[in-house]
Amino acid sequence: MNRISPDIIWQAMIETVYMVSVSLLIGTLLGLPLALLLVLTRPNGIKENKIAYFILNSMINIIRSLPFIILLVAIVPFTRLIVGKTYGTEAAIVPLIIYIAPFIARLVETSLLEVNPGIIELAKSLGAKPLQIVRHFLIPEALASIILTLTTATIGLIGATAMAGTVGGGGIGNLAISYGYQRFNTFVIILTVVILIIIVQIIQTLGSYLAKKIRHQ
Amino acid sequence: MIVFKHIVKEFYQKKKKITAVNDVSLEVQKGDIFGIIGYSGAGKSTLIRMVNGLENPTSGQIIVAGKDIQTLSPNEKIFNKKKISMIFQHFNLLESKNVFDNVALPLKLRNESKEEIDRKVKEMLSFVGLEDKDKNYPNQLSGGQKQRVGIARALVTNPEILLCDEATSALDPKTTKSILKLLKRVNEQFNITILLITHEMAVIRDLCNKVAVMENGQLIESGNVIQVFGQPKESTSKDFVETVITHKIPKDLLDFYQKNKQSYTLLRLKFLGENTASSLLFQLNKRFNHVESNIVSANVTELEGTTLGIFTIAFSANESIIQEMKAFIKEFNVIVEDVNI
Ligand SMILES: Nc1ncnc2c1ncn2[C@@H]1O[C@H](COP(=O)(O)OP(=O)(O)OP(=O)(O)O)[C@@H](O)[C@H]1O
Ligand SMILES: [Mg+2]
Repeated sequence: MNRISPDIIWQAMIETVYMVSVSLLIGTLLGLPLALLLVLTRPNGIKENKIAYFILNSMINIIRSLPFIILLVAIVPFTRLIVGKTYGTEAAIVPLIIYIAPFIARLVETSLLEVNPGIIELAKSLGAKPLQIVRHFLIPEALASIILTLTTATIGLIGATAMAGTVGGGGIGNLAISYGYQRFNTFVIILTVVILIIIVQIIQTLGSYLAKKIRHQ
Repeated sequence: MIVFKHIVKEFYQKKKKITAVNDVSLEVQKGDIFGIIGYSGAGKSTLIRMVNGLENPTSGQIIVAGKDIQTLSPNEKIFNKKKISMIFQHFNLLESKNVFDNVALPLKLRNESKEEIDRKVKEMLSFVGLEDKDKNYPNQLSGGQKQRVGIARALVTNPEILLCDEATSALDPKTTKSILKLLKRVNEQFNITILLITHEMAVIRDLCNKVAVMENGQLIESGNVIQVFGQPKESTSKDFVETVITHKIPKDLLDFYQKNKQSYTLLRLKFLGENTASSLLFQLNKRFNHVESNIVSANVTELEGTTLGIFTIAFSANESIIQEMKAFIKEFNVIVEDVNI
């Protein structure tokens, strides 16, 4: 009764990695530009635009205030529109992206705002255009911090994938819930938790290492 | 080269108006090393930042290299900015890039070729004495080295004007001296006009040929350094001059001359050039050989390659002889002032 086939665990790990990496990738592709727009259009920003900033800012706040489990259910019609189904790993990825993109946008925004204002001043004194400021000054200077941000986002995503089981997403977290919690299988609970701890450790170590390397310390 | 005409800059902070710069007019000529000095909050940074468009004046005109910078089109503005470089108090180096890439950055923005960038960056790094540090990152450099990188980055685009906002304020006195020497070389070797702001009179003394004193957003005094150091008019200017030239009379001497006010008259002599001093004192003693004269304090300062001497001398003579002596001293083109004790 305590036994669980290694195949099932392996399968769950693949699902987790798949969900996390696809939603992280697309979430970053959406979140990064959003963060840049926030920083550029904010009051006293390089391309100040009150209306654009207000709309973006509120949208991100609204999505971020929804608990993931609610979001998951609320956007079912949208999910169907995008991936053509409402159940399975792909169907879980859509809400994961919607969940993580604003999160990444907010964290990257903070990273960008932490860039020494003197650097922006330098960029302006050199006559750099807004896009040049972003490319040659803001991003390189914020990169280490952005990497740490993405590390945090990745770990947040792993947590969120556990709930993706609700729409049949599978994954390690789901395994813990369906095999362990619902069938009172302590062994599976412990096993999955250990696997999650190891994955989180690896990701955090990797992220910190990369950030350190970029900072030349 | 840079002309400020009735520049006013107002800021609003929580609906409260702050006049950071109040009707400043000033002209910096080509080849000048022009220093603006003032206490914190005087408006110096605000003023200098208007030259390269980091700040726009509320009213007034700024003419850089013959062009009113506010009437320029955006493209012309960028073109104009290319002639102006800036160095900063906290260096503003990109921590994520090594020394070479930091210096190369302005050229990259201009899409110059790799070979050009390589050549120019190496040339500038050797000018500032950091040719062997090109692969280092800013956090591996000392403050003085960081500012050298800042200077190399500023010069790599062949500017005509260099703006320095407190470029040495974060450095120790010895490093400050070496950076000031480097800036002097920048001015002489490349004929770059330098406009700098500082709150240290020693920086003005060691580097500038012209100086302006700012207080509460206004320009209270300006002129050649020799003129302002020799005869500061406003009390703030005097305070600044006194930080580097003291003509303080030692306490016991002061006590003595205060007690013997009737017998001695104290005069302060200000003159340029060392020879003036020795020949004047010699002639004075020869001509008025019956007058006892004692040097109470003396200070010689090097300014722009010449020396400014300020001597305080006590003479024991009656009023008519003193008047005669003053007239005699003036013939040597030496300024005489009464000293009240
Ligand atoms: N962006 C701003 N918004 C509001 N007030 C400002 C702004 N920039 C400067 N000020 C105000 O203008 C005045 C002059 O500031 P400025 O920075 O030019 O002084 P400073 O002479 O350079 O002083 P310091 O030696 O401390 O650098 C100060 O009262 C300052 O608070
Ligand atoms: Mg300042």
